[in-house]
Amino acid sequence: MVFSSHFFIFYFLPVVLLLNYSLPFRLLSLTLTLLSYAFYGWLNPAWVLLMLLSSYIDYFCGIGLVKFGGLPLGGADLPLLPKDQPRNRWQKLTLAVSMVTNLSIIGFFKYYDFGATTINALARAFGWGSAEIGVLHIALPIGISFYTFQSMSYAIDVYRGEARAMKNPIDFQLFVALFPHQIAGPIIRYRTVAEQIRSRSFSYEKFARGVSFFCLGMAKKIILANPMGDITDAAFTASSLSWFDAWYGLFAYAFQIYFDFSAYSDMAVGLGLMLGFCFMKNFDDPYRAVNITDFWRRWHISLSTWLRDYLYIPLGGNQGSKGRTYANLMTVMLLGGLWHGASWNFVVWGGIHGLMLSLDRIRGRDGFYDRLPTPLRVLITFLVVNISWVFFRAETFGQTLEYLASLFSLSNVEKSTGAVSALLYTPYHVLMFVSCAVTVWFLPQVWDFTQRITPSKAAACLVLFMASVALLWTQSLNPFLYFQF
Amino acid sequence: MSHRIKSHTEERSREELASTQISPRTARTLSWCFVIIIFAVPLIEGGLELRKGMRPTVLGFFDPLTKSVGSMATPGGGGWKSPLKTILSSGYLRKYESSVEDHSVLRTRVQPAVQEWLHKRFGAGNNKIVVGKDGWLFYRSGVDYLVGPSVVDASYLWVRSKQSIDKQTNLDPAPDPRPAMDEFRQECARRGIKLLLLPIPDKSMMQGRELSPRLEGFSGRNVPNNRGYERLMTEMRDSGVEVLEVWKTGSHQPNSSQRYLRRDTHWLPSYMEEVARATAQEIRKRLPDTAGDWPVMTLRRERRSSFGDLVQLLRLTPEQQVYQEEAVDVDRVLVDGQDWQPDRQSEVLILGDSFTNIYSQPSLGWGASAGFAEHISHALGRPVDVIALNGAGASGTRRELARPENRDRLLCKKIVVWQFAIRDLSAENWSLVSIPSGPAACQKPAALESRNERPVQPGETQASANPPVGPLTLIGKVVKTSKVPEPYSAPYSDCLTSVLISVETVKSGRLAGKDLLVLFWAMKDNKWLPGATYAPGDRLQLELLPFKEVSDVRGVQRADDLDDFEHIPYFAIKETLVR
Repeated sequence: MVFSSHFFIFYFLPVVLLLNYSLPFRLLSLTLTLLSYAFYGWLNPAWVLLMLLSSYIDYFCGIGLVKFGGLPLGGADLPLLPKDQPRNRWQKLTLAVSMVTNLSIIGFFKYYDFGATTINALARAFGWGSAEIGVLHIALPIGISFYTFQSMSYAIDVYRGEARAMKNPIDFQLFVALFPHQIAGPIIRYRTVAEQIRSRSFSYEKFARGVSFFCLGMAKKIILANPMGDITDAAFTASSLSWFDAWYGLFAYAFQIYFDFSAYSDMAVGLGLMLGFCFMKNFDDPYRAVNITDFWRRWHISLSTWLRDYLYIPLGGNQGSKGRTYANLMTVMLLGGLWHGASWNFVVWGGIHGLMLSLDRIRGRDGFYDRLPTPLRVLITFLVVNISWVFFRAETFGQTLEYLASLFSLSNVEKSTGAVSALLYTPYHVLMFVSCAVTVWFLPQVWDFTQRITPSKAAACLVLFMASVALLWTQSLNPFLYFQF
Repeated sequence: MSHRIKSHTEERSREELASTQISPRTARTLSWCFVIIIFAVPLIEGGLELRKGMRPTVLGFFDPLTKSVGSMATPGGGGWKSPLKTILSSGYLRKYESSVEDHSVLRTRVQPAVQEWLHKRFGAGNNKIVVGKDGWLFYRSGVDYLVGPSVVDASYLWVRSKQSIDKQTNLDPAPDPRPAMDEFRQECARRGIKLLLLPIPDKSMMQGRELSPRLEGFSGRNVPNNRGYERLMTEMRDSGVEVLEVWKTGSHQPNSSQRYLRRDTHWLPSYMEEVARATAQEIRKRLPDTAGDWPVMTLRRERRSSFGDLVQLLRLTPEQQVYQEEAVDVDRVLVDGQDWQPDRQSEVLILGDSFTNIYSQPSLGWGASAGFAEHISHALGRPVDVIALNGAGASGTRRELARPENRDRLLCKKIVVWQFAIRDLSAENWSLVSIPSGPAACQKPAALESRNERPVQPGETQASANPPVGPLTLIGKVVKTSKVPEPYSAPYSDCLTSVLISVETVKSGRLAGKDLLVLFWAMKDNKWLPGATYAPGDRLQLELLPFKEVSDVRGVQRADDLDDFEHIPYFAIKETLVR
């Protein structure tokens, strides 16, 4: 199910709110868990089994970590593992089970076909026999990358002694499945929601802020992101483009992915607030970043902090030599790229960002670049990010190269593809393109706009919500971009 | 522009959320307004449906369960497992969601008004329609074919397969047309039949200057095309497939100003007739000059008008004044004063899609008996046989040939013309269809329609050997259904669906076997009918006719995922859900 759908807004959400505010608190975890499974299984109910498998393995690993540490399992709350004590062999094995299982699930569903195709291609290229590894054409369960990472963070937090293991399996299932963030984040760390699952507050202020997040997120998705998606689809599927069309299509994609993904995050935060939860901010004006390091502090913050805490720091972070730090940055970004999808394009995308992060470190502060005017640095950063988006958006490596060639007028423009202008430059799409640019660089972001809600802002939120619903009815189903990851 | 280097943290997020500045009154008002809006829509819609005496669509979720409660009372009616299986089956919930959205009164009322406003004010189309110049409309899929990647590019074909699987639209994707074309050529060659491919150019190729100013340089035979088209056709020719590219033929008039309807996906009658003459000429070159006592065909000019399928897909208000009906002159083909009919015994078979049907199938809005096959027949001066299904040029027509009731169709043939919309090369599934052999020799109709049962011959099934005759009334249970397209997802507003029925009781009529393939109306005027929502386990009382006896629905788009080439299809003339 999609947040920005008629059924979700007018049927699923009212049922959720009705139950959330009429049932006693002790029944809420179970109710929200069941509703979250219904939400997740909407496209394919069988995928719920996979989520259950991942959840229960981590749940039992959490219990196992406590038990093998010789700590008592009785009492209302399970004890924290002491931070300063080394873990024994069984505890290490338990953590390994959690990691291996989660990585295997994501590896099989997301990377098996990619791996098999790559190996087959290599085997063919080097003439290593005709036997090929079978490609299974496995359908990718939506949101698998998000919930397996969340589930893993639980076992790691418990192992590190940063969070208590959860005794109630329903509470744990709710942490993994909670529908507002389940499919496309923000990636929630167990330690930050564990307490909220057990106890959270409800108030009009919280609910109203949630409503404003939801309304504005909906507007960003329907009014801004979806028309940009039309432009992007046309540009990226065209067999050839003029340089102008190519840049226009690429900027449209930059707007689409930002408004689409941040809209999802805003709606998730809004829904969380309506249900009493507080989730983290996932975007912080990323296209106003002055360098790539700054960009990653503002873009998909829940993923970048997850990678920092669970990968970069365990690898040694910046505590080793300079070379080691660059290698760590590169490793994290390459894996971060691969996390997005089973394609070499994502690896290259991660590589570009890893390289730019390393260059930022090599350059240091107060260099020539930092003395440039801020708007120029923002523009340079935006252009670099956009070049990397080509790898992110293109379906294949060949298409990526063709698109890059179009950007720099290095490709032959076929006359027949002049027809693409009918798709790119309708008055409606041009208007929305300009609106996106204005919103990105001149309007406050949702978090800031809703920090202080006046009656006129409240009215604006409702009007935008109703306008979005009216527009939604004219559009076909437009799932969020990050569903595919 | 601020320059913040400090990263956002979960704690800071919580602090920010906890410090919202809002007055209690504004908070209450905003909260309640939102709640009222989201609760009011379903309540109003349910209320309106109840007032009309209908059951609220949203309650349709429980249909499999309520049906099960009903059928549990009857012997062998099944238990809880079946409805639960239905609800949990992939696709059921999406179907239910679509049904709720499609029945939304508010959406039905607001959507056209908003679409019309966007269209008039900002020239906006929608995901199906591209708006051209001076009131011209184009079908998006055709434009995508023209500007999109090469239709034979390996990585593009891989991407299409992957998307089909990930979106679960087709778990057995076949985006590459080459294997299907080659296989069908072999099927024909085995029977001594010549195959002629006839791709029909897309409107965006032929009317480019009405689509984009950048296409004004193209005219006459200089037609823009998909990047991979030439390679595809070269490969096909190399493998022995003959292709007629009408836009390259000598009869094709250069610089002709209009060949397609302004607001319909299809061609003008004049262009269709021009292509029919060119096709007839190609057929004549390949057909032995057999003499025959062919009936005399005459033409009767008629004026027909319609808004066009693209206006319908644009979904404006019913009282819209943006577009007027477009009028065209067609030549109706008459045989001895009667409407032209296909001849199963003809040596020529036309496999076609809506380009063949546009002026011969009234449901498409442009009347009857003036279609592509009629005009080929007229130009040839002899009868032709035709199987034409809307939206099924890529695979559907070959699947029809594989059905038991059509296995004699290739027997008397010397040439098959396979007409398909060129855009299908980039959008459709080109399934491999193996066509079983039919009876041993070309038979007269009387022999085929014999009412006496005869022994099953090699290459036949019980059903094909003894074709159904007359009406049938029975009670049966749905075994398998097909996925019905969403309303407004294709230029065709009507659709049939194939359903496999297990027969429980035959009330009247003769039936061989226990299973039946039944075609139901699934969609009319872009509205789903009960046939679209049947699920395995549903029990139905049906009044049926052999499908071949129902002539007026034969070319209608068909949802068919069953791959059932054993049973002869029936058509449901009356259906009642049995509880």
